[in-house]
Amino acid sequence: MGKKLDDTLAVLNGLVGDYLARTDNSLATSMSLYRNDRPVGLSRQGLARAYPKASARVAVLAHGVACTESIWRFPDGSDYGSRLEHELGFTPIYLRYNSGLAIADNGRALAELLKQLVELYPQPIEELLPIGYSMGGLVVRSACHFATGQGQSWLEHVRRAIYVGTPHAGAPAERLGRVVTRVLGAIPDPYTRLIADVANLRSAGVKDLGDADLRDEDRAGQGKRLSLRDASHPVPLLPSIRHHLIAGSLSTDPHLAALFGDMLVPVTSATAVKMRREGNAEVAEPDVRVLPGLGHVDIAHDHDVYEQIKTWCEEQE
Amino acid sequence: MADIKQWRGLRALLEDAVEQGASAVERVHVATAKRPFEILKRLPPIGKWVEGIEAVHDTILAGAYGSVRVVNRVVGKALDVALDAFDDARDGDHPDDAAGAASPDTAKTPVSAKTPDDEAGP
Repeated sequence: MGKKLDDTLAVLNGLVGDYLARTDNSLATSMSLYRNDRPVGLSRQGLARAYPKASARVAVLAHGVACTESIWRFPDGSDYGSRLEHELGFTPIYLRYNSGLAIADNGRALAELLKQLVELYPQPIEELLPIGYSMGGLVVRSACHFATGQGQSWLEHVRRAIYVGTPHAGAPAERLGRVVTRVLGAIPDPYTRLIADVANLRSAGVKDLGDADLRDEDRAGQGKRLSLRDASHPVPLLPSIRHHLIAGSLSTDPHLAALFGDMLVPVTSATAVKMRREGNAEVAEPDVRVLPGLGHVDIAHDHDVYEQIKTWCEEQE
Repeated sequence: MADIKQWRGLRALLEDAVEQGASAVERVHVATAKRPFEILKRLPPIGKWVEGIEAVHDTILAGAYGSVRVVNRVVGKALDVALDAFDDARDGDHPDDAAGAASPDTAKTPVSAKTPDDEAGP
């Protein structure tokens, strides 16, 4: 498949992917592992063929909403995964998924997929390193939540997780969209209601970004919430592993950075400030990095971000 | 290039979009037209006449939007038949592909036509 088609389908899935999945439409992307733009069969044979030099250290890279794993790519064709492979011996595994589905649905699917990956991988896995960009980080957190509840053993291989531009406390742009559509829908005018109906077509995944809803029960209250402020997050960062948070900020001014961050995710959300304050996230200061001058898309393929990821990965437990 | 499954998906999505778009515009149309009718119906000398005109208007409106939906479904079915025919013709040209065997030019085969284990390595 061509890159343009892949990218178009990714955007379509991000916008209405839940509808596509619900109506059994073949344009819906199903969660799978990718290498060199091609799906990897989740079987012993498929994995052995795709990763002939499989390392015991595996990095799983989860992209964000409305994009594919190509978002990680530098202009020279490398990415965080391939650089970790060459410099630190990780085997990079790229996840592709329908980002229009609820984060909880993708989290459940990822937990199941990682469980199978650990069982079928060509050699015993020593370290499994999830790296999530934007929504991908929330999908990783959701997968960790479900795996903990079900006692899945792949979590034993996870020592750390890296989040790049992940809205841990939600994205204000989506919350604003939610308020505007509620107001438009409440006006007794057929035209404003039509606009509200069209705006409400946005996918479950996008709606989940508002308050970073990771579980089904978090989603249930979405219709009642109208606050523009960060919600208190009910799902803590998994205490058994280290968490590394990277935030981008277009402004060097701390107030503007807190408000706008990388334009989509405020620094306070990407660095889980409120969660840390409320004791829901044990993250040491050295595990948080804010990079000025970086927008939300650029943060997925930036040299400084990679250097930071590499530095963390080189650290001993 | 998109494969036949994706063309089918696109067809279904466009059909859904036209169907639901027509219904949404119809709701707005009905609600907008209702306003002047409601005002005119309150005028005693013409109230009864307006009720009749409104009924005729609503019937024509329902017929017009209904025909959009019917034509949309017919076009959808026709496209389905055309895609089936295209798929059959392609299978006739490449019987090995239809049976699921790996073709020599695997790299050019659409991804969905391959079994997962046939996927290329790095």
